[in-house]
Order: sequence, then structure tokens, then C-alpha cells
Amino acid sequence: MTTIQILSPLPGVFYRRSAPGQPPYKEEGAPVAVDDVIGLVELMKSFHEVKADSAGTVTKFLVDNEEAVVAGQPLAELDG
Amino acid sequence: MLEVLKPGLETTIQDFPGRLGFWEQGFPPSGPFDMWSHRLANALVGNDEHAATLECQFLGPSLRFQRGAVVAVTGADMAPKLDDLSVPLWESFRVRAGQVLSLGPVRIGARSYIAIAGGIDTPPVLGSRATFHMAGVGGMDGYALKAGQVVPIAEAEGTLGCRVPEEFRPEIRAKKEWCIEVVAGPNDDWIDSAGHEMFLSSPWFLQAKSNRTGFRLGGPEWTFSEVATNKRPEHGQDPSNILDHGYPMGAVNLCGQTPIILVVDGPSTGGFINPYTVISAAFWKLAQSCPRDIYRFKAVSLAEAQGRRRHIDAICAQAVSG
Amino acid sequence: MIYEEPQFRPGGDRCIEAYFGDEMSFDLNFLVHSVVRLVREADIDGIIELIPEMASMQISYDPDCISYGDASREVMSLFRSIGSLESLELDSRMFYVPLFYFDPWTRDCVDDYRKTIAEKEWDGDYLVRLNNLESLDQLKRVHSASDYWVAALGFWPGLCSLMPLDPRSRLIAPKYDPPRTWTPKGTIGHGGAITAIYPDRTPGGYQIFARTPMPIWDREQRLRAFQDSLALFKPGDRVRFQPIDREEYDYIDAKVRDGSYVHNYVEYERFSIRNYHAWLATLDETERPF
Repeated sequence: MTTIQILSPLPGVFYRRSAPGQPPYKEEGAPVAVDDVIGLVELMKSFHEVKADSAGTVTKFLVDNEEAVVAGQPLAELDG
Repeated sequence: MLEVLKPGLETTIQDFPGRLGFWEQGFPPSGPFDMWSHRLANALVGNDEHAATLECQFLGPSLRFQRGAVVAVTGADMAPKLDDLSVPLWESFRVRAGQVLSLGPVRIGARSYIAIAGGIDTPPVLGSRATFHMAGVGGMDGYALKAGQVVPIAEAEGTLGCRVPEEFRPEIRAKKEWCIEVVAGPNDDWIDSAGHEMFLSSPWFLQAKSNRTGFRLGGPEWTFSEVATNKRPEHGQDPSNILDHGYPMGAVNLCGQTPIILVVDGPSTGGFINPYTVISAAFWKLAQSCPRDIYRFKAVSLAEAQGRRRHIDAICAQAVSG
Repeated sequence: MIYEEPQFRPGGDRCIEAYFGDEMSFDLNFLVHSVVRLVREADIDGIIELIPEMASMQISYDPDCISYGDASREVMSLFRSIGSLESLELDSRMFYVPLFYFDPWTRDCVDDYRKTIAEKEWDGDYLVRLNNLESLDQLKRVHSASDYWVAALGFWPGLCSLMPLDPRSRLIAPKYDPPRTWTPKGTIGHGGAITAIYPDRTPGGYQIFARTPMPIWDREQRLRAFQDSLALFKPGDRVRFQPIDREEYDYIDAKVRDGSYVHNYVEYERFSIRNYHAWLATLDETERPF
């Protein structure tokens, strides 16, 4: 098992859900496949999907919902 | 010619001072948001300051050069690379035919400018190459760059080995707090003294719902003067409503309780008041800030605003040394 | 009211706002257009753009050529040279705009809004009810009876604010709340006391009830009327709506598509506010003869 970090591709505001009231894309402990969406980053009035580039299990999110992030910031950790 | 391999997040062709003469029909000037970095990029490669550059926002493009060219990158740091090697910001360098210039996710700042000797040579629309992508005007077929497009470049020799000394560059740092200079007006009389005090003493945060049209801010509640609360019905119901009027670039446009700074692609007119206006010399700071950055506004006189503008103009005219 | 003299206010270091009054009236707007015309003709070094609005104008200037104070003084002295409002005349182009009232596309748009955003009364019925009209037919007659004045353009390129010149055609309507996310290109809408033509598919808030096949916006500048700009109208133009049916809509639409459509407008007319006031005086505004 190795720990893999998913990094934010852009600066902006991180969202774990597609819309308020919706379940999160991924709960901690959930399995993740390559290209699964794990959250959104809002920037310039648009929402940009954050996708996993390797498969594994989400061990934890490193950023809270609606927290500001910078490009390259780790958003979540996977065990893969 | 430049072949677009990856377009980046929203990379557009812009020229300075943008599209003038059609504002009365609703066309905003557009043009580079950070005019300082744009002009220095042109100066580095030996272009006229009016030549069109590429404005890259937050995530830069990858471009293959179909012929050799002299190039400079200024503004935000997107870790530019020529093939696999890093290239410096704020310096002109040679790109050979077939090489790929790529800019990545932004590390510091928000907007980078790529100038190519000769300038981008798309057909001007209403006198300008600037892109107003909301309405599909100018630039590359009206919109941001798309993969597979080929961007025409005019021929020019260019100036190699030029550099902008640090003291002449805009101070783009990974800071989260900015001091933004504003001039009071046009509708400062619609706000009461507590409202002015609140605006100038509070931290305002930049929302992610911000782009080249407007910068939406979050912060405390506004309070209004008699002018706003006791007015003719034509002005509209909300205290922030006014009979439709012109919107100057940089207007701090108060929409209900939400201030939106109207920037380069902003609407020309509308029905909300503008108690303050951001000075042109502070635009580069807006252009280089990221969501959730903090703004503190400082009121300056019109004379000081003109002084700061002239200072940047003077730098852009003489900063490049080779 | 119309102010004795305009009030000048800075809009940053490159713009001046000049406010001429605080009412929504044709006379005030005509005064604004007249001052814009005078400033343009004076060709003052350093004044770049002028945007006429309902009761004000925006001046953008090059501060290296002219100061805020000097630009304001120049405009003030031109304003003082006017004399009486009654003496003012302006060249005004007249555009004939074919209009298909109660068309299927704006109906679809309203239906989509009702399905996806909020329930509301259909816009045509709502306008009839709010303005005490008898029927949709009467709404069509009242709306198309007047010439309209292009009081201002803005917010979106080519989006025009049209004021009816015949007070008997005045209609009122509140705006959508929340606004629509889309509106068909060429839709006619009404909000407050203003009619607008949507140049392109955009969000919007006016009550919508008609559509024109005649483009007022062409980003490819294909048709001859767009040789100088992508937007058709300029402030101070006039518009006359000509009701058409589906057959004629399709005929014009086909000509627009194949590039053979020619906009119908005249450029030889001059609008005199004295003559306009004299005509108004002959009307009984309490009547609705249409």
C-alpha cells in the first residue's frame, strides 16, 4: 500500500458535493477508480471537476468543504 | 504560427487599450486585465505596447511554434517551460521551430502574458484584437483558445536577451491581502458616513464567482444615506437601485448588499449605484489575485490616482534593459 | 426633475459621470442625446467615448490629454450653449422591425422557465391583465401603434432600451424574479416602462411576448447593415414595429439565413422636440384608441 495525494489542479474554492443537499462525491473510506470525480473547484464562475488519477481508497480529505485552495494543494489522500 | 496543443483554462488574445469607440452600443473595452504585465511583455520582445498578447488565466496553455520566434512571459508564475526546460519570466528568449512552450497551473498570481515578437495577427474586430468572449467578439473566432487552433503571428525580428529589473515589475507575491486604491464616486453621496467607514475599514474577500466581467466581494452590510432611501420611484425599489446609468471600468457596483467590481469585460450600463471606483493603476492587483484573497480599500484623491497611473506608464516606457 | 445644470462626478481616473436629472422622461433623455451630439461635434482632444443613458452620460477621457476638471468644464459650457430644450433637433434613423407577436419560441421559453425555475402567469396574459387591456389582440395593437425611441444601449452589446413616443402605448410590467437563464435571440421583452429587443440568446428579466426574425446583432457582420458594427442600433434611432404572421416570419428568416436580407430603415429624418410636443398636445392621453 502506498499513500497517494490528489492535488487541486486550480486555485479556487473546493466543494465535496455537486450541489448543496447532495451527498458528497466520495466519503472517507470509499473506493475510488481512475477518473472518478472526488470534488469540484469553483473558479471564474465555473465549477471544475477534480478527478483521481489513480485508483484506491479515500483515507481522508485534507480540505474542508467550501475551503479556499491553491493550485497543487493536496485535497485528499488515497491508499492504493 | 502557433499551434494550440492545450488551451489552458481560458486563454484569450488581448490588446491594449482594447476596443474603444463602441461602448455606447454596449461593447466593453476588454483588453489585458493586468495592463502592466502585458505592456512589459511586449516591450521585452520589441513590440509596440499595442501588439496583441495571450492572456493566460490560472492554468496556462501548451503551444507549438511552427516557426522560430522571440518570446517573453510576464505576470503570474505558471512555471513556463520550453519543451522540458524551465524558462525565466520577465526575460525575452528564443523559441525554435517545432518547440513547445507550456505554462502549467498558476503558482503565484493569477494571469500570465505571453508576447511574441511581431504580435498576434488575428483580424481586428471593431478596431481591436481583444477578445470579449461573453458575446463572441474579437480574438480567435470570438472566444478563448481551443485545442487544434492555429494562431497567426506577424513577422518580426524581436529583441533577444532583454530583461525587466525586479524593481520595475508589479509586485506579484503569494500574498493573500491586497491594498486596493479607490476614488470616491460617482455615487458616494448615496452611502452614509457609517457606510463609508465600514467599506474603508473592513476586509473584503474575493468570491470564486469572479471573472473578467466582475469581481464579487463578500463582507459586511452597507448603510445608505437619504439620497438612496428617499428618491423618485423611477430609480427602483432597492436602496442600491438608480435610474440606469453608465458603469465606469473599476466601479465598485453595489448590487443589493453585494459589491461587484466591474472589470475589463464588465457591462457598460445598468441600474445599480457605484459608490467607489478602483483606480486604473490598481487593476493589476485585481488581475493577480485568487479567490478568497482579502482586499482592503484605500480612498485616494483623483490627483494621486493619476500620479500612480503615470508612474506605471513611465515604467512601461523605460523598464526594459537588454 | 431635470436639473438646472448637470452634476459631474468622477468614475475613477478615466471616466466622468454627468447627471442631468433624476426622472425617466423622453425630454430628459433627448437632452442627454443632444449634449452627447454637441460634445461629439466639438471634437475635444482627450475625450474618448460618450455613453448616453436615461438621465445621464458617461464620458471616458485620456487623462494625459485633458484633466477631469477641464473635461467637465468643456461639457458644461456646451450644455450652457443649448438655450431652450424646445429648440433641439436631432437626426434620427427610423428602423422598421417585423414582429411576430405571441410566437411559439418565446412561449417555449416561458414554459421552460415555469418547468425548471418558477411558476408564473404567461407573459402575454400577464401584460393584458396588468395594463387593463381587453385581449391579446389589443396588446398587439397598443404595442405596435407607437414609434419607439432608442433611449440607450448597454449591459450587453446591442441590447436596446426603447421608449414609446406615443403615451397611449405606455405599458408597465415588473421583471422576472428570479431572472431567466436564457431568452431566444430576437425576443421582444417589456420591463418597467421599457421595451427591449434581445440581440442574442442571453439571460433576461423582461416579460416576453414576441420575436423578430430581423437580426439586430451579427458577430460575423454578414449583412450590409452591419458593415460598421456588430450591433445595429445607435442611441437616438427610432423603431417602428410591423406585426407579421408565421409565414412572413419564415420568409424573412430564410432571407437572413441566405444573406439576402436587407434591413429596412430611413436616414433622412430629423426629430424636432418642438414638433413632438405640439403633436402630444393634440392627444387625449386618457383614451386608448387602439
